[in-house]
Amino acid sequence: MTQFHERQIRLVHELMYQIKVKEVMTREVITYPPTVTFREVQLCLKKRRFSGTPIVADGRLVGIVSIDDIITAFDHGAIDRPVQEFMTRTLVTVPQSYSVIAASNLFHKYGFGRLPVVSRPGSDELVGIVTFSDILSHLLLKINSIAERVEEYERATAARMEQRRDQLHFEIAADSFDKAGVAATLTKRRLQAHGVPPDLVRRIAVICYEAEMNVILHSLGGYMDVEMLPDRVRVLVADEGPGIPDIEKAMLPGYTTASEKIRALGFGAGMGLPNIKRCADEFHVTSSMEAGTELEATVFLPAARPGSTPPAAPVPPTAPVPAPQGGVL
Amino acid sequence: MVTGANGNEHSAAGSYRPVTVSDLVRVLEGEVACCEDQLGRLVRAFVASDLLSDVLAFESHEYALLTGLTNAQIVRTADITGASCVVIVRNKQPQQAAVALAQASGIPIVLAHCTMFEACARLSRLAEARHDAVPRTSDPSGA
Repeated sequence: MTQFHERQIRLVHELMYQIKVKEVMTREVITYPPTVTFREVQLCLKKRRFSGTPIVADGRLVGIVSIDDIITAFDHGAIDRPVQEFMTRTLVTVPQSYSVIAASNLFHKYGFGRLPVVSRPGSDELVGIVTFSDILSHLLLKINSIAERVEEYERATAARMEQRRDQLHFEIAADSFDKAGVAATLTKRRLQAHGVPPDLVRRIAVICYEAEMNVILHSLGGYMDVEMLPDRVRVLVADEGPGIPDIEKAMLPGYTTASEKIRALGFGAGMGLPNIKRCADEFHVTSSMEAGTELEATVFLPAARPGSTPPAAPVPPTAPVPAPQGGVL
Repeated sequence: MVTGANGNEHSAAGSYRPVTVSDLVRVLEGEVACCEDQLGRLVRAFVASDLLSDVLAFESHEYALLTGLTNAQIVRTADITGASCVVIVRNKQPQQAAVALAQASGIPIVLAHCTMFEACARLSRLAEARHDAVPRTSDPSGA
């Protein structure tokens, strides 16, 4: 279950506290004066399929007549007597500002089918009536609308993650120092267009830049593939050799085999591979003097989030990117 | 401390109260080589180095990259790491490719006549002054 689901379930629980009685109650209440007979009330209840009705005198709630009360009146031969003789006078009411969970607790405690709703605590001014099924149906509606939002969110997330699929390929020529960074910059722009978070874009771009520079400075040429999957970006760099004689040493920050010329250009600090490793979540490098060097670095992406920038323009899934032609991007 | 190939000092990034690129231009008495319209960019940190791999190893962004290098790679590095501007010290002119790339990326290049050491000292004073200028809680007595 995703965090989103858990949050929504907590939200449903919170709904019970957030929804107020006044939101779910029936406001147009049929009431009777204390002088009405049990028979009249009984006919009304039968006709409307109610199980009880409030009795109001001078705008004040004075009692309630339920089916039980009518049966009691019938037992006493008082079915044609005014209700005030046998109605329930000890009233349990709920103020309209209370949460539905408070009302729900009262239903459980007293076993009533309905509760008169009063304007505020301690008041006998009747403003509505609430049943347990009012609460239930209101909650179900809310839960349903949340469930629909969750589904919509998941569909949108899946679509967004699918949109992220993309692949870039760059040929990198040896000694093409003036073109170094072109692949990294293009990759950066593409990732930004896909809405990848800036800190991850930066890490991936640094990986590409360093790897590109390694191929240019230390190899006979090679290529770089940037594979963008829904949950990760994979950078694969391979060159034609001559290979790294001692990878362990090459991984030590500051260790360098770079020439004075390379160092004068600002590179060859012995930070390339350590930088790539630092920026990657997964990192493998293999090298042999025969086959050259192969490097794979992966950065994991967080689940696509709502509000992340959609691609500026639709990108074909395997748009071929021409090898850098020099000049300015 | 590593000394760059061009003999310039190399210093670490720090995090300060933000200043703007135009503040840098002012205290360095520098010239703006390109992207005059970007001088309002915030600068939150400084990295001074001639070793670009070392620059790539810093975590900071919205920083000023101070360097003695003049090639296009300083702008690539600045762009990839999200730098606010590049400062070239010791009265050097950036290469044409660097200016063109900076224009394309919208990253201002500032030219300073002073040495790397002097530039760092001035910017350090600027950042510290900004830090001191943070309003302090007033006297609770109201005096």
